[in-house]
Amino acid sequence: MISTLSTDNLTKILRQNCFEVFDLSLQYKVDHDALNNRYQQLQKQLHPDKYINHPDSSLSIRVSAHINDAYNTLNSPLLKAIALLEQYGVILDLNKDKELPISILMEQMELYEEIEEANHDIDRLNALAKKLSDNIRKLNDKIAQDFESMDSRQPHGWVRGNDIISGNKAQPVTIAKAGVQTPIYNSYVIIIEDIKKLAFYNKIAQQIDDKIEESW
Amino acid sequence: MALLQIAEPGSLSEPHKRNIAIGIDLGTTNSLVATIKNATPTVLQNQDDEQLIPSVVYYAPDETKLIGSPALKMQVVDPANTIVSIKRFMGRSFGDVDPTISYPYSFAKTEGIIEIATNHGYKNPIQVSADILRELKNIAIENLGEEPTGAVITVPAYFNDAQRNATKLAAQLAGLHVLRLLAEPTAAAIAYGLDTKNEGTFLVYDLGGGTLDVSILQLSNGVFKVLAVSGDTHLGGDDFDHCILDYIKDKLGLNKISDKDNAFLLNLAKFIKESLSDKQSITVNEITPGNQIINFILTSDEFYTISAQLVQKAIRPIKKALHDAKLDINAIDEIIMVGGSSRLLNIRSQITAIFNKPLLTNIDPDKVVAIGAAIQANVLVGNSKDDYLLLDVTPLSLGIETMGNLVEKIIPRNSTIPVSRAQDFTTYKDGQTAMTIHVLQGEREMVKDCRSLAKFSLKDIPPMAAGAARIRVTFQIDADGLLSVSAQEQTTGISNSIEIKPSFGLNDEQIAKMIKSSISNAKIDMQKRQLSEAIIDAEALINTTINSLSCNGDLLEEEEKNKINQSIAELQTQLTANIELTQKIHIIKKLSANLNEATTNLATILMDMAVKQGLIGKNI
Repeated sequence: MISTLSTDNLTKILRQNCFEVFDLSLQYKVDHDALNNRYQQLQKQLHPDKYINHPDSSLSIRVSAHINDAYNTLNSPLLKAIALLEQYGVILDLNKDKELPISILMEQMELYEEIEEANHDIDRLNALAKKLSDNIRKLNDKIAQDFESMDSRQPHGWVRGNDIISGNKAQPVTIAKAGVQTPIYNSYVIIIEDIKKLAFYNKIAQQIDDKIEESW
Repeated sequence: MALLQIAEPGSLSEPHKRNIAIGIDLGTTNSLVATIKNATPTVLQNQDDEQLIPSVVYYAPDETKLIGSPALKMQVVDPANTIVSIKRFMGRSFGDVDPTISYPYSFAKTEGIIEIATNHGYKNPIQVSADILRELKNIAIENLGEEPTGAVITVPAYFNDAQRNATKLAAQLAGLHVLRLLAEPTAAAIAYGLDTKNEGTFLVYDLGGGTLDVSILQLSNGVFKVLAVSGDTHLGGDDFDHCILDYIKDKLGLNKISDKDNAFLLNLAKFIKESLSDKQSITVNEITPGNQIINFILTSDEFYTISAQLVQKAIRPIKKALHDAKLDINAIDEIIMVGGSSRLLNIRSQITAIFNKPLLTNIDPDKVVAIGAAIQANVLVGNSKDDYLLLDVTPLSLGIETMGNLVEKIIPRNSTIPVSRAQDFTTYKDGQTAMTIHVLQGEREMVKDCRSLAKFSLKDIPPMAAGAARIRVTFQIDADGLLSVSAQEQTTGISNSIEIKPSFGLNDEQIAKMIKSSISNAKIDMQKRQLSEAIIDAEALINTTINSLSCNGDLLEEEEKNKINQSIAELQTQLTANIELTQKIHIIKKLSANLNEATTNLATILMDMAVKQGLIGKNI
């Protein structure tokens, strides 16, 4: 039987980010076998089921929820990208920053038209869903490359120092738009655009999904 | 002096150190209680050797309350005071009562929780469920001779927060320590998964009396992870009964019939449905209490036709669960059938056709949930060496009301629990010190289409300019699937007090009243426990005496032996006597004392022998 964790260890996990929780290095490409193993091992140790009638039972609910959240983040390309970007000192809040990059405005119009035309035709909706998931996969690969190229150009320690965007932490897009032409800003611009594009694809995919569900 | 049992030191386990955990399947139609006995999951029986206890409570004109089969018999006699299928009303308000179904009850026309008028006054679903749960607890005590230390209670996977809360409260009223609320299909998967030890992906199809659950789970490395749940809290075997009932009424032109006749025909419909699970047709020839002649033939083909719509409705959640789990049909390794209504042939043939696979039915579909609950309860109290873990999900999205009566989702459905999400809010007026947040559960976009869970006020917000305050509200769903909320103002770090008003639950006063009335029941519970303890002690005493007599009886005079045998016989007859509780406890204790007295001499002889044997070969 696996033993439970001490109060100190539980509290320590609460302060860890999603990569630290699973002992993963700060990179976009995640080893999913390692992630799954570590996730299962952790939950077996600290799930509230292991803390029945234990003084730390409510703490274990919080820590277990934190692990679930971290796992969920690393399994979602969009959430993972935003979390990783945050480790570079850039906070991207898509709820506040809704402006789409110009590069996808045309595509947006086309996709909306296609959904409209498909109406409730299940075959066309399925074809659209397939197209979207292909797009998402390609974009996912692209974002992985974006991060890799950024890795090679700048060591984490330097960028994470937050000096370069101090005072503007909450509005990285504004910085990007200001037209600062250093390589690091360019990488930010590209990554932020790609992440917004991914968020947009996810939203459209969800809409198609809802329509497919309605047609049952 | 009592007979001494002499045993090797340490060979007997301390009886009071055991953690007795029970699993309870609180069903719409039947309820069961199970435990792990000698490493085997066992469904416990009541004194009439029943394992399936009808979830029926009868409130008689006097103080008596009948539960289970005796109550079910009253359904035809006094339908208004015989509460059946109460689970359908759990966590619901009067406004939720389906007007198309005719109930024999008179409901209190109040806001909030449903209340049914009975001979014992108004009863809400929590109280009725508590009565059933108390009966199950007593069955456990009678079987185990001890109060269970904890219980796992199963709920439909698709139950919302209000329904889960109501169930937990009912269990607490019945004096049970709730270890966990467990989703019924998940319980079934545990029973099968641990039975076969097969890793893989399971689909559980659980069609009970009133609810349908479909769950997809994955078992790997000792972790059961629920991937998706789907279902319908308003669809079950009862609907097929009503479908047949409507057919009978329609066919025989019975438009206006009495409640008694209706209850009679409903039972008949249920019988017909069950018969058509293994017959091609059924001939009905009955007379109702109101002298209506019921005479017709129903074939299974006709039954398929009249229930086709219901079957379609019962199949749809499978598609949704697969879709949510992002799996296709071929990814499912096993299909587990659960619930009495999963025996319906039209349902079985449809599902077999979809998956093109045989269905798992080798564990009794009526008992598998209780068995899984007992296994899980045993693990939770630390009795089991299995270190498997269960990760369940929340079945419904959780959201809050935003501008324009829209719902903004905060925790999406099928999130693994426990889960917590924080959301920041701000003030819109200068100096604002309070705000109201409306929490909802459901998948739809409009507030009116979702279930309102709670409205709460954030108070004591430090007065600041509009938009300056940042209040972080954390929504947490625990491993029981129950919601809690906490809040903190971020700029000052001040915690806000939260006042939650459950929209369809109970207020504090109602809860206090219910707890008070449950205390009087606790007295009866205690007596029942004393009785079963007395019986168990008496049986142990009888057994020891008989054993000693058969080994060393020749050491006693004939007269003394006769006296002992007579005492045994007297005690034995009283063990099964059908008399009032307190009286029975008293008699059994007195006769046990008599037997003890009669065996004093025998005990002394045996003691001497044991001492002598212990000294043989030893030099003093």
